[in-house]
Amino acid sequence: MVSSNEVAHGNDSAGLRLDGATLFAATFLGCAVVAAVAIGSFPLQASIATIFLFAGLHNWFEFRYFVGRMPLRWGRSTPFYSVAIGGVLTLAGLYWVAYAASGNWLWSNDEWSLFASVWNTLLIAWLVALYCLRKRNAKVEHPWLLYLSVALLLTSLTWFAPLYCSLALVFIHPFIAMWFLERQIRRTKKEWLHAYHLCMAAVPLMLLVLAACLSRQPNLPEDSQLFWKISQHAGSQLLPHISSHLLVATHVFLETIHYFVWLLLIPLVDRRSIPWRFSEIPLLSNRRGLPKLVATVFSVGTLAALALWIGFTVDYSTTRDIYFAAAILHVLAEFPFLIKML
Amino acid sequence: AVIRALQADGAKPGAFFPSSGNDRPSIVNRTGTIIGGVLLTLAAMLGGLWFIRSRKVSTPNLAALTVLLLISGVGTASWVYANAGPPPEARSLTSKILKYGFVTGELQVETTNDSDDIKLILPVAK
Repeated sequence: MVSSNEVAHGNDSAGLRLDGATLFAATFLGCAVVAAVAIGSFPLQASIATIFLFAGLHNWFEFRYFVGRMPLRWGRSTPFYSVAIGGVLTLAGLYWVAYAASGNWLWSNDEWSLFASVWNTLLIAWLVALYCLRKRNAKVEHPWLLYLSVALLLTSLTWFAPLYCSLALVFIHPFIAMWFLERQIRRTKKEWLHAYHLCMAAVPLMLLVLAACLSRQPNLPEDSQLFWKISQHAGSQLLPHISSHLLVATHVFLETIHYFVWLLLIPLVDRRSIPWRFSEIPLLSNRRGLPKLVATVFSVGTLAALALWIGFTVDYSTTRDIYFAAAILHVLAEFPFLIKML
Repeated sequence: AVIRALQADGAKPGAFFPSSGNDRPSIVNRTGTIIGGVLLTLAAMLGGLWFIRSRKVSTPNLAALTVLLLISGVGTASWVYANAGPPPEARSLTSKILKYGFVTGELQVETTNDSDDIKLILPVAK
């Protein structure tokens, strides 16, 4: 006897069942493989192209997501959001001070190392504070001794090897978006969770394949200042024994996944994050929110993204420098929202 | 490696490694090492305290034994590696030693007519 389910879904036992999760995983893995091959073959060109196309746009999408998740009234989360915003502004401000001072003869290598250590220590302390506030709000018991121990261990590493830890942040940052997506899938598309975990497990394998293929490649040319900056950003100066071809390709590959998570995958799994659904933003759509402020920020953000494209077209190298100086804001802003979702 | 005879400019022939001085690798410095060490010690203390207080530890003896094993392992590793030498590529006389800052300035090559020996003088970093 045939059940209504079998009638509705057809004869699944005969062919491959192509449900949403399988399609998602297949598309993700297929695109990631294509991206890895293209980026591994032309890392410098891929770096220039991906930043040109997606950098400003993905920041706009991130802001759209964050503002959509911001509650109308902070209530018990007031300390959390206050510490979050204060931390973002303070750390970003310190970063900009150092950025403005770069190239100054007063800053020796030791001062740079000291600054990196202090900045990373403040970052870790801020994250620990946010996590403790989050768990206190949720009234969840947590092993604070263990977390403090881990935080102290990480902080000690920032003092032993500060510049390496700063470089590690560059490579860890793309994974934050993947973690965001995982938390979002848990909330809104639970049936895709297993497929997504498989996709995430495939990323380190792809990185290993990239390493195997590119580790013996010669360093990328640094005949222009732009190419030198791209290589240096990926750690070529700190890791001279690793091919800069591999370093740049790895960095661009991870950043590309990061861009597509924000631009495509998060709106795909969370309908509220679809960019044009402004009615889903409580702060904008509710009279008790901040509609004018949010609308103004969206407008400014849109203009900034357009200005970025124009700037990249006119003078890519200078615009890239300005963008990466400003981008620290979005790197820092991701942490509080991720911690809120844990 | 190509040995070039150059004019030494105030360089002193001396030990391969600098005896003291302010030229330290920028990546690791003394202040960072001290602070990092203190933080690492605190991390180990708090981690051990958590482990002992954790409900997963069934008996105090097991906790004590585990801590003892950890301390022994870390202590042994420290004893073995405490006298670590320079990086492998700095242990032989090639041009690669120059990038570690152990020597600086110009090299001096001395030859004599009396023998076939060639003396390479490496100025120590000040």
